Amino acid sequence: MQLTTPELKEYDSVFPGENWFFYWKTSPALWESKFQEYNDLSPIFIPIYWGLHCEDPDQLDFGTNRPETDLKRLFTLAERYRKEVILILPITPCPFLTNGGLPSYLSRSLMCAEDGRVLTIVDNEKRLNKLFSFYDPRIFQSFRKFTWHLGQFLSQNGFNKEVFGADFGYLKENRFESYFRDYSLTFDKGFHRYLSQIEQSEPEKIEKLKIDKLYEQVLKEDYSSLVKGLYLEAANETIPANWSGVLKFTCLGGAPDDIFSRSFERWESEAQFIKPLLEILVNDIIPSSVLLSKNMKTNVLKKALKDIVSQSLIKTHLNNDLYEEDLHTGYQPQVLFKVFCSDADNLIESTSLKYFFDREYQWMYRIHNQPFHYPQDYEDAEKVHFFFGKNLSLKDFNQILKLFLNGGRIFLDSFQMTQELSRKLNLFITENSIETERINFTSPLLKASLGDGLIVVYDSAKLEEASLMKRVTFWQTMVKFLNLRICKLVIEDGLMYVWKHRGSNTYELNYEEIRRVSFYNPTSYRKKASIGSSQNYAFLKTVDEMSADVKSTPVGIDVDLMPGGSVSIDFGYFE
Amino acid sequence: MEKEMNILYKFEDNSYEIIQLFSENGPIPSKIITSVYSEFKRPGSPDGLLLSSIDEIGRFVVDLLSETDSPEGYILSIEDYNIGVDSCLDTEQFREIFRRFGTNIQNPDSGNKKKNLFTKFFN
Repeated sequence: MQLTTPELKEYDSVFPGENWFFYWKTSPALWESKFQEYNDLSPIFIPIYWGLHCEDPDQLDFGTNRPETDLKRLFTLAERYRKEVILILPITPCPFLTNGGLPSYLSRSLMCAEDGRVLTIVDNEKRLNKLFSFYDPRIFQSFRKFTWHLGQFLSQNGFNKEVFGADFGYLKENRFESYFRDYSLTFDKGFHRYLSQIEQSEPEKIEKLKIDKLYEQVLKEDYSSLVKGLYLEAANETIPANWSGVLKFTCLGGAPDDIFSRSFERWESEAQFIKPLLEILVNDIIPSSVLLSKNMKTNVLKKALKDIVSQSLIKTHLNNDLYEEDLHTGYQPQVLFKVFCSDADNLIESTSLKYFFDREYQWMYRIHNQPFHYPQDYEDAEKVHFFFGKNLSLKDFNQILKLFLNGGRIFLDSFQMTQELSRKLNLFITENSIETERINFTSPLLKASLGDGLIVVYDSAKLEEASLMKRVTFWQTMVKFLNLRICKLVIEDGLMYVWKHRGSNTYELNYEEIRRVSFYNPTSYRKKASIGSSQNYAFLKTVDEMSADVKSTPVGIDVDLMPGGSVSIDFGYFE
Repeated sequence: MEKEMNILYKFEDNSYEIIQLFSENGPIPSKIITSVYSEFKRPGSPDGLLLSSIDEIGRFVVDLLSETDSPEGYILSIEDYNIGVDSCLDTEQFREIFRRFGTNIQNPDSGNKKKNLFTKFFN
């Protein structure tokens, strides 16, 4: 017997994730009331469902024939209710849309995961969405045609809404893998066409392929990037006035293997999504729970999503100056380290840097796979930056030196760094009379400092030769030297935690900022954690206690969480 | 006791690799798999659950069923899995794929076991 009024199931499917609005899942007559119901401050993500607007190859419908495709009315309503709307145009197969978002007449070549399995995703209503290969040339041609019509529609109606391309993906060995990556026969066919083309233009690559079989992987990556670039270019060219760039999204429960656990009720549990949620955060990707049913987001996962996929996190990704004020007042995940390395690089793993972070600074680092850019108003200069010389261009290197001159703290791996960059670094040190120190500690080290700026050059090849224990000791020593002030936590296995921070307000002027640690117990056991006292942290309050007990002790704070429990603790931080 | 076991394999580089091994309760504990697989592992073979023939997969599964006290298992190739998935619309239909398209392997011991007082009540 249910004592409370059941929430309408339709609401969950129309707003399946934190701030996503699926306009095709409700009658257009209800759009107005849906906008009225939406009370979150985050901008609303409206994915453009290509298959809905294009049921027929020769006809595109933005409301001419069917009211459910009437985007003009949809945007007008959003404006009327002052809801900020962001249009999301998938540039990869989309995991929460039937056929991955494609019109049914284009849904012919199924895409495959690495093991050869057809990639199938379970949605929030337990339906299976099959994804189709974007390497089918017919899909590209139709995509271009569709985006051209969309661009025309937006400009003719004077809609200046931002359109972001969405690169949907999942985590594979804790790194982002786009759904664009495909292992099907369609990909292979396209790849062979690509090989025939480069045989003429770049014969040296084909020669290298004949000698080195492993080089095929590199060429496959090249081909994949090339085709993805074509989709991006098409969107950018056809929607020029609204195009705002690309956002990466990872939907919890959307990895190829998730189909097994998510198909069996006794197997699927909210506990399995907490760690991936935090890994998504570390990879600097926007997490989404649109694939999970409402039942899966009732306790600890609901709290974690509310804490982590916050308004300020979304707005950071949107990179809009208008939001700058919000970013200072809302809680942001606490990030101490920023690592810049390409997806293909495994150096963060092989040097045990990730292992070290996960052990001692869990979830307090971000991995960026795009080149580093140092803008004038760069806000993250106080974070510790890690760069790998292997793939750095001279342009990237100059940006790094700029960061150093402005007080940035940098770790630079010299392994496979070009001679040109090594010379540039030496010249830079000499010309600026920078104080240096050279020592040998697991790896040869060069330490250069200028004011607050610090650059430590090491060789990952030497580090890789050392034992795990030595590698961890290396990082411990390096980071200890940076004098980062964090509270030491001792937590039991299975317990998850995340640190966030925000600027202090007028009532908190004693503190530089407010730091919040949130604990989540997704296990079925009672778990404990303790926070060691630190002279830079003053306990302020506990927030959102749910099946949790927090006690102050002479040496810190003890936290006791029942299964499914969660709690947040606020500290005032001062130097 | 696991109710039934599902095994998905692929054929690559002249060997059969098991890529999924689970029951409706979740993955089969790796400790059990490693212990059973140790009888089948060829010296110097690469990581992963690699077997030389479908017959050998069958024998491996029988040992696994016996170890986990499961009555039966279904083995399915990637190719048949892909055919099966193509016709599924939801997870309810997906759960049936192994039964519908897979090869059934029975645990020879399951029917012969004498039931004691406890198993009568709890199984």
